[in-house]
Amino acid sequence: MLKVNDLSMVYETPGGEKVSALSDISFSLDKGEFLTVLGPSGCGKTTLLNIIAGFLQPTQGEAVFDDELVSGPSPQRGMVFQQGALFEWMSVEKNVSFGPRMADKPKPDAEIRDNTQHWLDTVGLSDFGKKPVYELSGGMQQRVALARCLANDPGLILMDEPLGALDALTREKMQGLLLKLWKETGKTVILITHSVEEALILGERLFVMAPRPGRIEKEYRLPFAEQGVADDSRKIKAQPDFVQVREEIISMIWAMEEEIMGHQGEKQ
Amino acid sequence: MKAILKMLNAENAENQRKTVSFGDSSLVEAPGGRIWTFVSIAFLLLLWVFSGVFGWVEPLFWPPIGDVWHQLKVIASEGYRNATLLEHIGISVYRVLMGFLLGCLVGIPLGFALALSRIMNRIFDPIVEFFRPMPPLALIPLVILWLGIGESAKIFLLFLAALWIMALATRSGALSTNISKVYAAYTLNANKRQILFRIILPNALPEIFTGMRVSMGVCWGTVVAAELVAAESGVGMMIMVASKFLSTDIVVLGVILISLVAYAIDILMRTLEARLVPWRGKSGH
Repeated sequence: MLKVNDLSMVYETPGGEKVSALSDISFSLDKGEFLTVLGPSGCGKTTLLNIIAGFLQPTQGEAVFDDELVSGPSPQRGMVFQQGALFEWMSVEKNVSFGPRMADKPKPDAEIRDNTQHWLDTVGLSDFGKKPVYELSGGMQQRVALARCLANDPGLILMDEPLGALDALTREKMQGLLLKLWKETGKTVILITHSVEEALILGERLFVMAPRPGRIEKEYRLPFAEQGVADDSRKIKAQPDFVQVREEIISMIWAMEEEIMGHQGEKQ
Repeated sequence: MKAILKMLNAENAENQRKTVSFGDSSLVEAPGGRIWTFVSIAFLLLLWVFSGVFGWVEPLFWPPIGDVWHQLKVIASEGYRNATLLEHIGISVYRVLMGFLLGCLVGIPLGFALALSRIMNRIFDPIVEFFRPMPPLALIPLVILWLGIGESAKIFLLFLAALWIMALATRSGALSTNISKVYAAYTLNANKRQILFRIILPNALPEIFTGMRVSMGVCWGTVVAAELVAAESGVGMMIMVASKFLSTDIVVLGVILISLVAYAIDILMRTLEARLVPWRGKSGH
């Protein structure tokens, strides 16, 4: 279980100006929940993720995962990046087995091999283990990134726009894969995205964040992820209730972006 | 005639269907058309042959190809100045390799220190930046004062030539590591040592190889100059002595030999590079 208590993050610009990237964020996430986070650029969503991952120290407040205060990166909190985080000097299977191989007391080779193959099978890359990662398409590379994260068996998976660089069709397929993996593994997931549809179809819970100061503007509890596990996601995306929430969120974010533009206009 | 032209322009099917050729770099780098390379080399050699036959150039300024070939045979069998041709080439190669290897041995760790520690960066950065633009040849008088004119002086000079290049290439390669890779590795159990050797080092390897090729080239330039100043053997010394006796044919022979050896070493390093860093230029898909 993840608990975030009164989290604030204030940056000081070189000019001495104070920027409030996050202000008094509090929430908790139960084991197995899938949370998606949406918001215009500059609302602090990546900062929030980096604090939970342990890459950043907040100026105030704390994040606690499984009763342990977050103070640095940990194998308990895995991360999937948008792109460029695979190790291109390693084959697909070396990437996937990296976590288990780096463990303080690594398991026997045979066990690591089986584990690697299991995750490659799960993400649909059974026969690609020996390939260098740079020979794979963008979608396949993100499958490797998912398998690499899962092979290390983290309790919490943080995803920073994992599908952001993919083309629309590949992206929809990958959303299905994410739902399937989430359901099969029962992992707790936080996913940041710019796509409203993606946030709606994947998240059981959804935060819409707003900028200056970065905060949670609105929270939704959604039924679509649960439906999406069983049903065709295209059908769900055409449902009236889905469309209604989608439009509501889009106008909310548009209003925020208008306001940001307005602010910038004033400065100029 | 048409058939020959067609053969000269042999290209693959897709490229033949392209309507825009001027400005399309893929067409310039496409395979085929190798024959033009032979044409250009043959032209240069023929020019050389004819200039000798018809006496276009004074042999003192540029000797006929036959003279150079003759000198090659003579020096190859009888040696020059108390050393065989292979010894002259060998000692030059030895100096270059020693200086280059020492430069790598110190420069690569120095580059990592510059890239990975702020304190190290602040300590060594001004030193590196100060010495980097200094031509090693300018240090010859000092090095001769310190180390005399023996092997160690030349190797030290070449070491300096390679050192700064290797340090900067390594630093730039290490600094280019995408932070996402480092973050990912930390969440996958890696400790600092593993991050260095399994993430940052391989990430820097392509640039380290580029640095090696550059410093190898600079070392060749420097070894010849160092041998010109003071040496009892080596290709540079051959050129130097021959020029005093106005034996331009030996000078030209020496120049060609240096180029050939340097070219061979560069091909070797490019082959090694293709083998060892096949991911070069493939990151950030």
